[in-house]
Amino acid sequence: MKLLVFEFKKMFFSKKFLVLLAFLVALVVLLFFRNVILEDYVLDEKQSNYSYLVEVSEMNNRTYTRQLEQDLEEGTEEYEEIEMRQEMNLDLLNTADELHSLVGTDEWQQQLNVEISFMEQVREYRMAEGEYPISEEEIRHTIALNQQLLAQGIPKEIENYSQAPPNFLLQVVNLWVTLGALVVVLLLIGDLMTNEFESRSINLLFTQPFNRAHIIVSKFVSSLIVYLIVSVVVLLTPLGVSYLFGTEGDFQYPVIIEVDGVLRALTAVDYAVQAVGLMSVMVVFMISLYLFYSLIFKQTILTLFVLLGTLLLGYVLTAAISMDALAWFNPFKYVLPEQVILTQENERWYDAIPVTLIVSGVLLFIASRKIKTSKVD
Amino acid sequence: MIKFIFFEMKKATKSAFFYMLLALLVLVVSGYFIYNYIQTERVEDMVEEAERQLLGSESSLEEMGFEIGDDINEVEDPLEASEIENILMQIETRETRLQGYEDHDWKKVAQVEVEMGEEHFERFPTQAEEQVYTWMTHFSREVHLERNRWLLDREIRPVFPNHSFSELTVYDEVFDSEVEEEIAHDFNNIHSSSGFYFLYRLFELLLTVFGAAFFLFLFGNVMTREGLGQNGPIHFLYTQPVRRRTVFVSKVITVTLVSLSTVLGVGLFSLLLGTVFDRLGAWDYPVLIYEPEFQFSFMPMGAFLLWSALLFLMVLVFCYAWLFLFSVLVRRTSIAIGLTLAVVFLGVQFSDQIVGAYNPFLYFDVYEIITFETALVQENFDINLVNGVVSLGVSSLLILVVSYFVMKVKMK
Amino acid sequence: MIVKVDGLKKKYKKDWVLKGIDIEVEEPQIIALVGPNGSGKTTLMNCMTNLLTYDQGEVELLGQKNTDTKIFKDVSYLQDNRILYGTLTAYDHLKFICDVQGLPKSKIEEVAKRVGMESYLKKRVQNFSLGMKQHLLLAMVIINDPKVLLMDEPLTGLDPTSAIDMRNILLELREEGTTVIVSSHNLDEIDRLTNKIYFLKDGALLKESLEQFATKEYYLTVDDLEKAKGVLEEAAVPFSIYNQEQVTFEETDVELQTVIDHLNKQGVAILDIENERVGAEKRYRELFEGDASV
Repeated sequence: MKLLVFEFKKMFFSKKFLVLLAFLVALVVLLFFRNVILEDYVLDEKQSNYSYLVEVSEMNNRTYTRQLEQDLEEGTEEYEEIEMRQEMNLDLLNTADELHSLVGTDEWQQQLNVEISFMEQVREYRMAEGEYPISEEEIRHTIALNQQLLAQGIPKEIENYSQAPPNFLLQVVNLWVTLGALVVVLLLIGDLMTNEFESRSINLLFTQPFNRAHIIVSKFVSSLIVYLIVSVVVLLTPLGVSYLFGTEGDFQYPVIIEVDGVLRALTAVDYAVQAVGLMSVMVVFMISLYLFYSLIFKQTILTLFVLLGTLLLGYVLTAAISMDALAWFNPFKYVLPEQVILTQENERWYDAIPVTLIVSGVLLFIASRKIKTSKVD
Repeated sequence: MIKFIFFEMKKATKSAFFYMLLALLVLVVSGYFIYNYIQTERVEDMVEEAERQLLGSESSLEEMGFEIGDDINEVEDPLEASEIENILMQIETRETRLQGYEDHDWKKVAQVEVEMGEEHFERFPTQAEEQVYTWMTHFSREVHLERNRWLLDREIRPVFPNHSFSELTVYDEVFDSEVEEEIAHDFNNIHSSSGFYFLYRLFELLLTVFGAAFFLFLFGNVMTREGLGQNGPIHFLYTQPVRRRTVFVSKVITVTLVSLSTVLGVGLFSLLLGTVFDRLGAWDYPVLIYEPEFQFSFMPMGAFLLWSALLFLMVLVFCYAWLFLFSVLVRRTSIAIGLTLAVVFLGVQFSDQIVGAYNPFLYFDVYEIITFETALVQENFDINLVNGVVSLGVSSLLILVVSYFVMKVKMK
Repeated sequence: MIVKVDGLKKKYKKDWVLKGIDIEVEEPQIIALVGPNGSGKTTLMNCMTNLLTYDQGEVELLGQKNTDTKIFKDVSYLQDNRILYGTLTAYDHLKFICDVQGLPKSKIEEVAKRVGMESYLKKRVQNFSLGMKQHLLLAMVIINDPKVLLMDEPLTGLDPTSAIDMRNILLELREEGTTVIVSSHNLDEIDRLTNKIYFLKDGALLKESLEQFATKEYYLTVDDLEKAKGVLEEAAVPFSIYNQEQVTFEETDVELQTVIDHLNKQGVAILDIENERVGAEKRYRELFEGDASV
């Protein structure tokens, strides 16, 4: 216990930790004000996207007109087909135009409804072999999300540019679980163990009257506590900033996920909890792997290189092989948890939690056995 | 200066870790070559495929009760007659193609593709009659035709598969179904164990953020090794009769030179692997370059690889600049590498939001810069090699100057 | 002027570590810099070589400002062994210096021989013992035949033989016209090297020529120790017996000639006379007695 306190103090009161924490808070605040500053820009973008679609429809229309006037004979099957497509295309044009004019207005329900019908029209048009630069996947997702929002009475927020607490939190959570947490943990624990070997200060610990396995345990526990502290700060900051300076939001805001090909909605809170939970499991695994490697290599750069290499290779290989049955046995599944939650094809987001924790436990166990015979060169 | 650079090189290369990483690199390159070798479609496969196709055409002809040599004028139904005519033409094409493969007559093979393409564009001369966003787009078909014209003109042996479905361009935005999307990517994922094409695929993997991360580890302690601020070796260097900036500058030059030679070494090694186990391949194999407004051109693969290596080198210098800055700031190797990786990953992730050709983080995807793919997607053709080299160079220089002064201040 | 330090002041955070140091050396000589841990010896040397910036004052070595790195062709500074590169060999270090300073390669063998490190010249520094590193550091600073040599704790980790070798090399260098400023805790060694001692106390230099404090301690080897004891006791000469072998006494207590006269008169044969300086330690005690850090 004393050792744990000692280790924790070493980490917590280090300049590195405090600077990092301040830096992360600053980053989140900056991100928020980026969203504020870019508010108009994003609306412009949205509008220009709709005008692009209008242009597409107009171009299609011109082509159809020319085909009907010059190339085809009236009454043939092909002529009628083109005529039909032209009609559908004109509908699309009108709807896109309507969407364009709705951007920035308060009529959010109408926006959602029109967007749904627009997407349905695109789908039909494409089925009739019409050309349109929107994929089926996008159509499905937009319709599902809009329907959820309408059902719950929540206005749509623009992803990654929102100032509402739940949506801004989602944005931060996504950054945090996409390498963010891993990099921060890497910075925090990078030379936690290896530095003890490099500076030979491990000999101080080795010549104290306690079980050496405690060194591993206390280093593990204290890094975990430090990680938790950072996570809490990183997740509370966006809530704080957006409550103070942001707009109102709803924590029931839906996040669309795909389970076995079916689209479902998750609330923002559930999504955040799942994502951060999986990330924490990954961090447990990463710390264990780090401690394990550091006892083998005893050298900072080498340990970090092999650690990152293992994570990358493990993730790439298991993603490439992607055998559904393997999901239960894959401790590398949560390197990027976002995708794991968003698409669950014949597997569930929680599948690999047990194996990841078990492998971590085994690594820690081996490490605590190994340290008993460990020596400094 | 030269002496310092040599000494820096000695320091950098005299560690077990350095050689371990190089060995790992050789291993990865060799492993990837073996993978490509296995995945390569051989001429025999193509012959087999062509034979199968020919048989298919012939059997459909048989089904219609028509034999080669029969008089087509005897067929009464005009619809059937035109169909038979089509199949006969198909058989002719397929025979030529088969012959081309069997005789290793690459001109003939390319000729077939060119003729088929030309015929297609006679029927659909503009993209208004064809798909603009859905695979396979008119654009991709044009690319395929021009590619084969290029191959024909220069008598280059194509890599396989070389049919129109093997083209996949940025204009192919949407697919009719997921299966089609998969097929398109599959056909486009061409492997070849010939030297140049293998190198092209290898660099696609290596000249990326991950490659940069590898090099960061290779030189991770180049600055922190000197023990700034703790009476480390930097004091030894500073008590030599040379200017202090020599110490700093020679480090920058050394890491750049060693990186350059590593990239070149990997290049030569790959070409050697290809030549020994297969063939060297064509240095002027066409690589697609996008131009505005549905235009395009090709660049010889050799030149493409050289430009890519050059731009990647600038990307590396940019990364080293950050590494140096963090090294002099925090003086701990692990944190310096960690912060550099964090900045690079964050920068690249957010780079598409800070548009403008002078954002250095935009240039990490080297291939997409040289092919102007990024430029096309971002609708900004200022995003090119020259601006990349300039913006990476200038920002690296700035960061390095800042690092130098931070180091100077911190030495007090 | 070989070395000129004029009013050098240096502060760390709020504390003045050096409060105005003046040093002027006009003739080649050996100067010892003595003071307890943390008194600023290394800081002073680092400031003199411009490794550290200082708040006030000027330093000139061989008539040139210390900011000009060209001085290091003729000025060497033996530092802490942390300046060595673990992965490189001793040869690599020496070769680099030769390259940078334009010295012939033959110098490497020559200096290795002089220092006595030929056997591990091509080994990696990370496998060196403390003493071996010290040898390398010495080789690195004398390879360019410097006119000024600063040495920070050169005796750390040296075995007795090496310490004697080091002393001889320094004395040779002095003969060759090198000015040596050496800091050390080993007061005995300092006594053997020089009587010019600068004590660093509370950030100021007390420059002393130890002639005034130097007392010699004599060690006489005699044929009959018991008889000599009796003779000297009878003559009331203050003395003691060293190691059950020698008669020893201090110069300040009694003249050597007096003792010799007493012994000769009673027929005790003197086989050998040795003497040792003890001034440094004596003066050090006077200055720093009571300091916690001593």
